Amino acid sequence: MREQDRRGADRPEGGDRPQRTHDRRANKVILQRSIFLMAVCGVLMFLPLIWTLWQICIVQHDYYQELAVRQQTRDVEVSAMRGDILDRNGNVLAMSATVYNLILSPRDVINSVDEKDYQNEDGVTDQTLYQAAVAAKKAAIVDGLCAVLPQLDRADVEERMGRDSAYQILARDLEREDSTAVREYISENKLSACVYLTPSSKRYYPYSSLAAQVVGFVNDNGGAYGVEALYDEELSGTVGRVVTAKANNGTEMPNGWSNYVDASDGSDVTLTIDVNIQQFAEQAVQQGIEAYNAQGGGICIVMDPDTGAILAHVSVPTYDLNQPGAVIDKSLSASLEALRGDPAGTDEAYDQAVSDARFQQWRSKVVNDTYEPGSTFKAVVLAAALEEGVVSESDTFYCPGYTVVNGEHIACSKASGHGSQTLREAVQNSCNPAFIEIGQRLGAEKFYEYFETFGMTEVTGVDLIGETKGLAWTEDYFTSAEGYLSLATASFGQRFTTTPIRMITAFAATINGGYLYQPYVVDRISDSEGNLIRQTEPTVVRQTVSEATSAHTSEILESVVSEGTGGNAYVEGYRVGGKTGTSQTLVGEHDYIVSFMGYAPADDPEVIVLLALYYPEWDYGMYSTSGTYISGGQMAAPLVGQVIEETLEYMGVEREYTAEEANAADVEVPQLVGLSAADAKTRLERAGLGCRTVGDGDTVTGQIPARGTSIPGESQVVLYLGEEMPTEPVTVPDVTGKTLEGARAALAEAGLYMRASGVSTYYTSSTLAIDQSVQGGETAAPGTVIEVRFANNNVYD
Amino acid sequence: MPKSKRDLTMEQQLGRGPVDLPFLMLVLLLVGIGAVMVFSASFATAYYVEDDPFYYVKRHAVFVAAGLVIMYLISKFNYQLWRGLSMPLLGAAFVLLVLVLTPLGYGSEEVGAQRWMKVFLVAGPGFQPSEIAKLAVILFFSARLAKRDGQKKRKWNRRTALGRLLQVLDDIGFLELVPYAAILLAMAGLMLKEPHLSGTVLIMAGGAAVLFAAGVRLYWFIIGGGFAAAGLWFIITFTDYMSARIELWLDPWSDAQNKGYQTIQSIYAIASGGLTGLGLGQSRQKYLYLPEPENDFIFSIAVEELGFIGAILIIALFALLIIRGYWLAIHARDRFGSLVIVGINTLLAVQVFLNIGVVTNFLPNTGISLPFFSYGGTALWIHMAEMGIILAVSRQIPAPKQE
Repeated sequence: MREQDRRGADRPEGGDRPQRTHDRRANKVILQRSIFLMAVCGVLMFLPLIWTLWQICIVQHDYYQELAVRQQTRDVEVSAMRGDILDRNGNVLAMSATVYNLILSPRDVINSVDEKDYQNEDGVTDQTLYQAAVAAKKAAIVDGLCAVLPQLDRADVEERMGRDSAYQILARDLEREDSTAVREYISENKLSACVYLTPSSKRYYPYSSLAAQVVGFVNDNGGAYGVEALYDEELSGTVGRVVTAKANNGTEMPNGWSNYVDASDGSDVTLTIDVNIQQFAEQAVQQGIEAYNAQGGGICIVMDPDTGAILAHVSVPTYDLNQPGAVIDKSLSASLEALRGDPAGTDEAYDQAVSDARFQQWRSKVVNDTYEPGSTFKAVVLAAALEEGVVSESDTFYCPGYTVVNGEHIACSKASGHGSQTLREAVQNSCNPAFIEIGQRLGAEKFYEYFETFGMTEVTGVDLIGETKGLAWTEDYFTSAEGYLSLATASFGQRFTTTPIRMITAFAATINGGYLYQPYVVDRISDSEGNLIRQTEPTVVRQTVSEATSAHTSEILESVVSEGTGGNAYVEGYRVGGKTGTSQTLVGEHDYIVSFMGYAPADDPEVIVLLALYYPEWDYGMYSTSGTYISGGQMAAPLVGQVIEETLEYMGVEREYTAEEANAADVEVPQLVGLSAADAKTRLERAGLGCRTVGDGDTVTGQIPARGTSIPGESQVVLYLGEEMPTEPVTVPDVTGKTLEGARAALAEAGLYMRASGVSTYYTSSTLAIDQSVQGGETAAPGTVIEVRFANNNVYD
Repeated sequence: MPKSKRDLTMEQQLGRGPVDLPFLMLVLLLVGIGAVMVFSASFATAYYVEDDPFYYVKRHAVFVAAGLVIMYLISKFNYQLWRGLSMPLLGAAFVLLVLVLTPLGYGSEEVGAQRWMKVFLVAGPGFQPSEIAKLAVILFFSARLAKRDGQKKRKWNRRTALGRLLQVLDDIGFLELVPYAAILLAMAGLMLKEPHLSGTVLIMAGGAAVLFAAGVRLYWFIIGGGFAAAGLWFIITFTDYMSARIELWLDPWSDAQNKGYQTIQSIYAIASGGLTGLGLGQSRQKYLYLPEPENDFIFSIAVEELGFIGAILIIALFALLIIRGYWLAIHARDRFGSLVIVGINTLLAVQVFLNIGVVTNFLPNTGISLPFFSYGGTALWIHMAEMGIILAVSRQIPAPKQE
């Protein structure tokens, strides 16, 4: 059957004639249609495919490839370590460290519970069991994390766990200890899919608030204030990138390519600030604010007058660089507390007050704000007048206690008047009428010329943020019809304002040989390997007065401290020069700024210090609640003296005593016991000490003080000649309020010695003791040296 | 010891003839290149998912070896015997298509379509009964249609209305088509139940090709094509499922993370290839971006690595294979051989067209593999078996007379 089929029906050859024609026709159809199919399936069909491939591969290649590469590569930023900020000795003021943020992905927590485990055979999930398992896992992670990091807020973590999110920051800035603990917890519990740490960097300020306004701080955008902001580019370095090929599961492709752009760490910035000097200055300002309850805070600048390098920069209120948002200033936080307690106050008002308080703390009064320099400016007027030759040492000025300019009555600080005085005395007395006359001798044009020359109409260019120009007086202000009064007040530093930084650079120019320097705080910048990139060279803006004039000015200013209103800035062994300043402000009737500008040593100044206290609490007249006369000489000068002494001692500047000082300098008591009374006296005389004998023997049996004790020169040593030497402690008398001689006598009476400090050897009847090292009423061993601080108590300026 | 030539029947003598060398070479080339591409494309998935970069290629090598043996054995098998075997094969195909819908089949959980069965019903590698059905339809149609013109015209009783109607229907060639249409529609019905649209399309294409080549009147194809187009238009317009698919086809980016993902990744791979490709083994899209890079989407990886030029070469090899196939059909010893080759060849061509069309988003996405390239044992075996049948036919082509 099959055989027949094949033969009859199918096989092209064979069969009878009609069948053959039939076959031929059928075969022809197959042939034609096969050829048709061959053309369609073998050729035509592929044409649209090739066209499509061409479109994708060639025409749209770039477009799609970019999309593909974007998904296939991971572009990771490699953060550059921010450079350090160092003080001039290399102490780290600001540094960065790697910290970690803790990230939770609640979505992946849910994904980590396999839904299939809760399905029956039909693939239907038992929702109750499944949800319970998810909840249990979430709770376990919350428990675990809270146990590892006790500082986490449990409620917050739970709330975040409940969110439908893949990125929740649970904790920021975890340091090494915490991050290690978290990492261990993650690996122990295999949670790397849902909990992970991302590196970040944190800025640390090891000295907290030290020089806060200079150093500044960073926020998320980089440097926000101070050097951190001004030198942000240098500090931040270049962020690097790593581009790697990654598989879709996020891992790196094996044999994948990667492309590195190295990160370069930020440069280190070394400041001219010296941590130690800064601390001296901060301490002095703090002391002053506390002593006189200065409500506006205070400032202190310590500068190298020969370069313009700023060694210390203090502006109070200040803040902790590690928490720039916190209000730490006592008076600011007290007023905030008061506002919070005020039932009438609104939240907005409080928030505004907090933000204002922050700005108060962040800004530097030294460069961002102006003040009325007061009498410290007289140094500039003096130098100008000497340079122009309009005054000489032989000139005399008469002060009746006031003067009248353009019909306006201008009082001198000493209402009774200074009487007739030489130029030097006028400066020592800080006499206003005398300086008005000096200003008038200069004339408005010349005065303004020097006003400009000393930089009073421009910014200093210090590399600190936001130096203000203030409302600098123009020439018209002096030369116009009303200018006569302006000239008069400007001559003693009133009515016009300038920044403290401008004042100190101008003052420095009067005593350093006449050079107006551009002050600076950044000494050098070096890359992360320590290679020097930039070194700041001192910049002389201009020569203001001649070296001779400057030397002369300096000499007169030195006498202000040794004999005049600046006496309280006296430091034994260092030749301190300076000028006091007390200025009335427009803030309030009794809001004074008391300041003192001091420098030392006067013949070759190493440091110049400006210290100002804002608004000591006023009581009555010109007296503060602390009982101290409100004046730069009373309040600021002792503090400047203190800063200068500490600074010069720290800098290793040798003390040079005057003859008078040398005599009063401490002397070591020699061994006298066992000697004959005559020999002992000779020895003491040679040592510059006096003596007093008790008893009538020939041999010294006892001595007070004992051998090796240092006592001021010219003190009297007590020699016991056979008589019993008293060993009972003696009661120390209260000598405060006594004059030098009175105090010395009172102490000697009790068998004690006195070492005087505080003012120069130029004592007047108004130089009174203000403090003693052992308080009156306490006891001390006989022969103890009691240190007594003196101050001139009637200083007007 | 083999019998001497004169002791053999003519068919046996012809059956010992040489296979068509160009066709064999093209098949071997494609299988070889396919195996290399399976290794390259599967490398990353194997590495990440199976922890063994050689996981797929090791298995594929075994499948290829077995496939070559199958092809050789079937090429030695006298293809005339398929005429008789086609009927039981068709019956078996129907049984399997029904069985696959029972719990004996699987696939609905994995990919949402009940398409697979185990070779030994409960064990062994999986296979698609639709692959058997394709071959069965082609063999059965070819066997029946080969003797189409030999049948006597049946005379209908013109006295009855029914008789006259049947006579008319017979004259226009309708009655002749009824059994073929019934078989195709029954299979299509079963396969759409899986569902398996691409398989249905292929069976239709294979069956239609045999019918077409056998000389069924052209207007039936026009009518059939018209109905198919109308049906397609209806489905696209009135069912949400299809219209959504069409939208996705026109703009895969409308659901880039989900349904459009595979297509987009495929386009990325192809585009990344550019003119000359990233180099063999250098595909990036195979790193877990493109799903099933070793299977349905292997061509995309091939283009990414070998570029537009490589793609054209592969397409050219397929085109040559297909053209050579039709050449063999034209030269086959009998109509059965011709029709079998036309059916298998068209099936192959349509499958290649659909696969490349899908990976380039020229056509809407449907699961369809690339013959000789895609990883998957039993599908490869069926293809090799089909090639074996063509080679068997080629053996009986008499060599041109030597002058």
